Amino acid sequence: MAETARLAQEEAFLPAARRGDPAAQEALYRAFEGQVYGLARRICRTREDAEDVVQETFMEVFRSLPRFRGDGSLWGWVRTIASSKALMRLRRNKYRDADELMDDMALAGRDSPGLRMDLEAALERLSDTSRAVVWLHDVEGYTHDEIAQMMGKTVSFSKSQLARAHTRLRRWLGEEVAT
Amino acid sequence: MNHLTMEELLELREPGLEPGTAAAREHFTSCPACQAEADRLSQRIARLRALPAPRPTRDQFPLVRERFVAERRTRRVFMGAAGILALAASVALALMLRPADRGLPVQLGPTMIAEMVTS
Repeated sequence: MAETARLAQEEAFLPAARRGDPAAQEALYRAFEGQVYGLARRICRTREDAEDVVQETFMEVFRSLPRFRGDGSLWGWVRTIASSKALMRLRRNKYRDADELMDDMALAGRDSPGLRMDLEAALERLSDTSRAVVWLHDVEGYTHDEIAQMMGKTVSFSKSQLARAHTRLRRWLGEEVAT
Repeated sequence: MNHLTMEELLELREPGLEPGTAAAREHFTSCPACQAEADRLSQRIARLRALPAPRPTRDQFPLVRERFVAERRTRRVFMGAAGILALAASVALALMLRPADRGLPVQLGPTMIAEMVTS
């Protein structure tokens, strides 16, 4: 029901937004702002980066809207743009993965079953790439093929990043069971 | 067979059967430890999906709109300038290639122009 209402709302503002009408653009922005920011914030490490991703996403959306054919859902299209922008931002800030790696090595000795983190903290502690793969695959529902394409990597890369991330999450959350 | 690796457990969740998954699936159906691990994995994914969505802390629409308008204005100026340049280039080319040496009248008088217009 909510989906139908949303589709009707999209139908109403899309033609005007395509023409660059400010009110329609604002309606589109308001409809997806929260979801775009949420996705960007989960992939990027800082609030500032996520805000930049929101800006870049909506610039691209407004620019490309006349070419949106409506084959899939509008949110699906916006989400793909947002994911690509967030991943682009990660690539630009690649040095952070190196920082994470060093941080991991420094903390390796402290990884014990007794040291538990909450899920939010554990997710934050993953490397940028692993966190992005976890979020895109497990939460947003992208396939490994789609993730590989967006990241410019192979499907095996996406799969191994996901497995590695879950192994770490399991350890950090204290979910390991001796067998 | 050893217990399934995380990669194998994740593979079992994927739609379609990858080559090599059959053996893993067979082990899985008879291994309570791997089933428990798969349950924990499912729960973890469910918890990830249930994490509260971070909310934007400031309204960026005015900024986005301003950037969009500025970009469109710049594009129009650029397209206008490009159009003028293209027109100028075509006129210059036409002048350079005009058939001046083919015995056509080099100069057109006002009478001839008037005749050409009326015909």
